[in-house]
Amino acid sequence: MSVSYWRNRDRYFRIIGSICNSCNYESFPNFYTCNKCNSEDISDKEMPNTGKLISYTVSSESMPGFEKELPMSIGLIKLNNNVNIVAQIVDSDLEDIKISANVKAVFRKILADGDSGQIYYGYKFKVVKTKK
Amino acid sequence: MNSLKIKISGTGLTKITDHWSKSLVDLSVESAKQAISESTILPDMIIFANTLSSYSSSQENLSTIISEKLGLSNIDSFKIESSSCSGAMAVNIANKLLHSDDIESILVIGSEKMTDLSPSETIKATTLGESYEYTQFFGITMNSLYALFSRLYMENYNISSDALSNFSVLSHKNSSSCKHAQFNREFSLDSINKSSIISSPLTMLNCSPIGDGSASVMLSKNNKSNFADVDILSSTSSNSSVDFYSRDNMLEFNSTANCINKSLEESKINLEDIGLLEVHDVVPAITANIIETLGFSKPGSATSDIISGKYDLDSKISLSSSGGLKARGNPLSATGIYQIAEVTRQLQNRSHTDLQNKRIGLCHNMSGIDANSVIHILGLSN
Repeated sequence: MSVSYWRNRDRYFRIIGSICNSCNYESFPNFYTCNKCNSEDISDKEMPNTGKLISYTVSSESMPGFEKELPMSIGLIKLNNNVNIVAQIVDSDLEDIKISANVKAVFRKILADGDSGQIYYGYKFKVVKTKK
Repeated sequence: MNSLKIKISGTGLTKITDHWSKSLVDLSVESAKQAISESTILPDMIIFANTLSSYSSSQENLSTIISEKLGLSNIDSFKIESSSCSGAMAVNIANKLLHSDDIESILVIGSEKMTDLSPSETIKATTLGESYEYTQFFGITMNSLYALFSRLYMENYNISSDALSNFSVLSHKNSSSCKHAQFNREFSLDSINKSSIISSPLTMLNCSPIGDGSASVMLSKNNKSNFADVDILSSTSSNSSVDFYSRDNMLEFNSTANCINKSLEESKINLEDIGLLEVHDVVPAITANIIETLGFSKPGSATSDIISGKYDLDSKISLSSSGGLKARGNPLSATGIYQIAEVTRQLQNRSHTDLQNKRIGLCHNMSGIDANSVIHILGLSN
């Protein structure tokens, strides 16, 4: 795990996807050939850190190492540049996790290799309450 | 491809359950021997379909190991992996290879051992077909992706998850007398909706279960078995993206859509000719979207169609007559081969049901959320 984490750490820390330099199509995760215009002129692009929930779920089952996250809220988020991302939703009341809720990215611990191993960090999202 | 029609000349199935006393090889040999025995021939080639063996059984090179255990040496053997549609993909490849001059018969074995793992490892196992770096790394499970899709579908068509559970009701009703099915019992709509939540809105009885199983089919140019000729009228596959959320329209199942278009062209039949329908009914909203993409129901209307009885066992078109992924079970790479073996036996009137006048069946198997789809149309020879 640690080598692939090291390789991807910038993408995990700053939500870096890709942009096509020919047609400006953006997507996350990164891509190598544009699926809109087939261009191979692609650059890394940092995604916006805000968006809206377009779907969500609360999971009662976990992958190995995520037991303490249960119940785990997960959102399908449309970022402000219209790119979709799936991420864990944290620091939010369950009743606020709903369709169209505004969310923003936060930097969080994802997983650790046991009690004394490496700690892995990356993006999660939280609901931003709008003032009434 | 030339007009030669490959035949399903033998089938073999194990019961899907917790086979703690049997290994992946034991299960594979069991279903393979049945298929060889039914076909009365020996294969020129063995194709093994599997996706979890490295993870769940610490074993690869299984096509060779299984060949050896079957006493078949000096033949070609290899493995096909395409996540949960590995089984149908292996049949698709076998069908293509059989159109060459020098191969007469191929035994396709699909097997999966899922219950040797701990509960959390099993959840990871079912998610191995999704991106490691952007899904598994973040602890996002396959059922959670299905749940995200399900809510999108429900919002788009204003359909409740309680109504969608009617798909699970039908699956369990159909599998109640199917001996090889994992579940031989019915569940009421209420009990399905009140079962524990796996990943909201999906309840446990909305999700396909975990089980071990193996299914085999012998494909050959000639049928020497004692059963009626069942031909592969078409065998097509098509892929899309693995990350369903990166698609412009997440409700469009493009790989399934491409596949059905190619299938109808290749088989030269119409949808109305199909009497048996097996789809990758892994959770209800996915089932509904597949049936609508295939063209059997209008967009958003598969749920009202299932409630009205359009897909009941005794209707013109019977859905998941052996219970489908939900109730027959879903041992990943074996699933697509179970579908084909079941439809073959239904067409030959030797299944748990007494479905007369069914001459054509369609089997749809896919990986992930329409990442890769395979469709087979099978028909009784005239």
